Amino acid sequence: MNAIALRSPVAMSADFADVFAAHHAEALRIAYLLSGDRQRAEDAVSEAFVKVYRRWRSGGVDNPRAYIRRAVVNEVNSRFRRLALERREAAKRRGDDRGQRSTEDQAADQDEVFRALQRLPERQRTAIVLRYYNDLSEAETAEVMGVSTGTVKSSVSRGLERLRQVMEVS
Amino acid sequence: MPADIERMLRESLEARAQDVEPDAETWNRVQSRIRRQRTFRLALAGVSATAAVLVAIVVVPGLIDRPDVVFPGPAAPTDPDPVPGPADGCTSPADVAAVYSSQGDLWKACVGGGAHLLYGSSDIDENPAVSPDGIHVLFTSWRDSAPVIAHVYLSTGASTVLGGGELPAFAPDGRVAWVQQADGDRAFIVGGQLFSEPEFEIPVDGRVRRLAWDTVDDHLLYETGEGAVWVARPESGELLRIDDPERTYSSPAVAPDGTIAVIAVDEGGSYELGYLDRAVLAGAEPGYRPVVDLPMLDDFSEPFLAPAGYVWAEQVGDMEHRWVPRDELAWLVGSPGWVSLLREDGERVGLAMEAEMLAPAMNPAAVLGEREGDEPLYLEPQAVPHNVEVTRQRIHAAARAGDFGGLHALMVEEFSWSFGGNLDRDEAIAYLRDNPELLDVIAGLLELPYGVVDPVEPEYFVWPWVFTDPEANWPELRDRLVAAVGEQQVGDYEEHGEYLGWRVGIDRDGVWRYFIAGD
Repeated sequence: MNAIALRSPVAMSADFADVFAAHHAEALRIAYLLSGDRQRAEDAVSEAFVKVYRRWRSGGVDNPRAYIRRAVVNEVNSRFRRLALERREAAKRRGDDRGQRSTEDQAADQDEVFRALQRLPERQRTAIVLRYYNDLSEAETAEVMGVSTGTVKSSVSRGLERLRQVMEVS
Repeated sequence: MPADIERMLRESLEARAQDVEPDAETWNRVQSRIRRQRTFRLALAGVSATAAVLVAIVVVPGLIDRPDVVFPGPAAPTDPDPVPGPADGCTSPADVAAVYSSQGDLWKACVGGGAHLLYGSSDIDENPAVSPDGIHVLFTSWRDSAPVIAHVYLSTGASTVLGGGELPAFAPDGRVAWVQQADGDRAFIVGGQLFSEPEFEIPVDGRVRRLAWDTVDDHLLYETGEGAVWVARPESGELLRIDDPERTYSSPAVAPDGTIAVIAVDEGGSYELGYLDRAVLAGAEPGYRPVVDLPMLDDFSEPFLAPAGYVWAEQVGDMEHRWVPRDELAWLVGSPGWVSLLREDGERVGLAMEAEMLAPAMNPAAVLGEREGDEPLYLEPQAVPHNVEVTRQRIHAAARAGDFGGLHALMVEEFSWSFGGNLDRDEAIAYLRDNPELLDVIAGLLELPYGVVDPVEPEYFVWPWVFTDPEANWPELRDRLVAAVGEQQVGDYEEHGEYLGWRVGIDRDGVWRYFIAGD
C-alpha cells in the first residue's frame, strides 16, 4: 500500500514562517503599546497572523510588514473595545485586578506617560503609537489605521494635548 | 509641566516596548489556529457540497432566473428582503427629505416630520444619495463583505440591487457615478444614466472615500484620505489634484449653488469647514476660505460633510426637530455618532435623530426650492394602496435594470403573460429574455396613470389608464403612451376606441398578476 503524505497548511508555506519570524517582535510591541497588557497583546498578535496568513496564502500581500501592522492594530482595537467592558465588570467584581498582572505590566503602570497613554481614546492612542514608536509618517499612519491624514493629524494633536494636561496635573 | 512631551513619549514607548520579548510559543499557537480553521473549513465544505447537491435537485428550476444585471459590475442577487414599512407618511408639501444611514439601515427625515425607516435589512447599508428629482435613492450595501449599489424608492422603500460598487453620487442632470475598488490601491469611478450601461470609467489611484458630483459643471470631486481633494472630469477622464501645504482637505461636498466645501485640518490638528474657490476646478491655485471652526471633540474624527441646502431645524421637543425652509445655506456635518446642521455664520443645531446619523444626503431638488417646469415627475408615487405602489416601483426598477431574477420574484406563480391562457412565470421570463425590448414597455407603462378594473375579485390596478378610462387624459398624454407602447398600439386604440395593447396588472394585495396584450 502506498503511503500518502499529508502536509499541514503551514508546512506547505515555509515562507510564512519567515514572515512571522521577521515581524513578530514588532507586531507584539505595537500590540502591547496599544493594549498595555502583554498576554492580551500575544493573543491579538496570534489572531492577527492567522488572518494575515489567509490573505498571504492567496497571494494578496505585497507589503507584509504594512499589512501585519494594520492587522494588529485592527485586532487590538476591536479586542480593546470588548475588553473595556470586561475590565469594568471585573473591577466591579474584584475591586481591582492589578494583583493578577505581570511584572512588566506593573512596571508599566509606574510609567506616567505610558499610563496616561492607555487612558487616551483608541484612535488617539493608535495614532500616537504609530507616529512616535514606529516613526510612521502621517500618510503611513493613515494607511495603517484606515483613516485620512487629517484624522491622524488631529488625533495626534489632541492626544498630545491631553497627555500634556495629564502630566501637568500629576 | 514636562519640557518636551514628545521626547518623553518616545522614551517611554521605547522603554515599554523593550520590556516585551516575543514568546516562542506564539508561532505554535498560530499554526494550531490555522490547522483548526482548515479542518473546520473542510468540514464545512463537506456540508456545503451535500447541501449543493440537494439544492441542485430541488431548486435548479429557480436558478435559471439568476439576476442578469445590466448595471455595471458583477451580478448580485436581487434583494430578497421584504419591504420595510411603513415608509410612507414622511412626506411634506416641499418634499424636503434627508436620507441617512443609522446602524446599517436607511432612514429618512422630512420637513414637518420625524425620522422614518426607509429601508432595513440584515446587511450594512450606507452612503445614500438622493436623485435630483427626489424619487430615487442609491446606496452602498455590503453583501458578503463586498459592496453593491442598491436602489430604493424614496416614497415606498421598494428596493432592488443594481450591481457591484460603492459610494454612489448623483449629478444635477440625474446621471449617477459610483466607485469600483480594484485590488490594491486602485479604483475606478464609473457612471452614466441610472439603470443603464456605464458611459465613462475613470481609473484613479488610492481608495476613494468620498465622492461628490459638482452641481454646476461636469466635475466629480473625491478624496482618497491623503489630505488632497481630486477633481475628475467624466468627459475626458482628466484628473486634477487640489492640495494645500498648510492644511489637509477631506469630505468634499458641493452645495446646490455650486459652493465647494471641504473639511480642513490645519497644522495644529483643528477642524474647520471651509470653502474652495471654484476656480480650482479649472486648475487655479487653491483659493481657500475658512468658514466655521468645528468642535474638537474626542470622537470627532473621519468627519463627513453634505449640503443641507436651504433648510434649518427647529427644536420641537427634547429630542425632536422639525425641519423648516430657510434662506441661508446650511451644511450637515459630523462624524459617526454626532451630526449638526451648520450655517456659515456659525449657528449650529445638533440633530437628535432616531439614532446616530451617518453620511446624510439631501434631496437636491427640494433644497433648491420649487421644482422647475411642469413635466410629470418620473414615477411619482401614485394614489394606489401602499402594497400596490411598492410592487409597481419594484417592477419598474427591475425592468429598468434588466433584472430578470427580480421580475421573476415579483410575478405570481401563475403569471399571465400571453392572452389566452399562458399562466406560467418561468415561461413569462423566458419570453421576456427573448424580447428584452418589452422591459422598456413594462417600465414605460408603469410611469403612466393607472386605471381600476372593478368590480373583480380581487380588485386590479392596471397600467395604462386608458384600458379602463378610454377617454381620460386624451389627447394630453398621447405622446407618453406612444413612448411606452409604440405608435401602432396607440393607433389601434384610436381606431377602435378601445385599448387592448400591452398592460400591467397588479392586484390590491400588491401581487403582480399579468403583463399582456390582446383580448
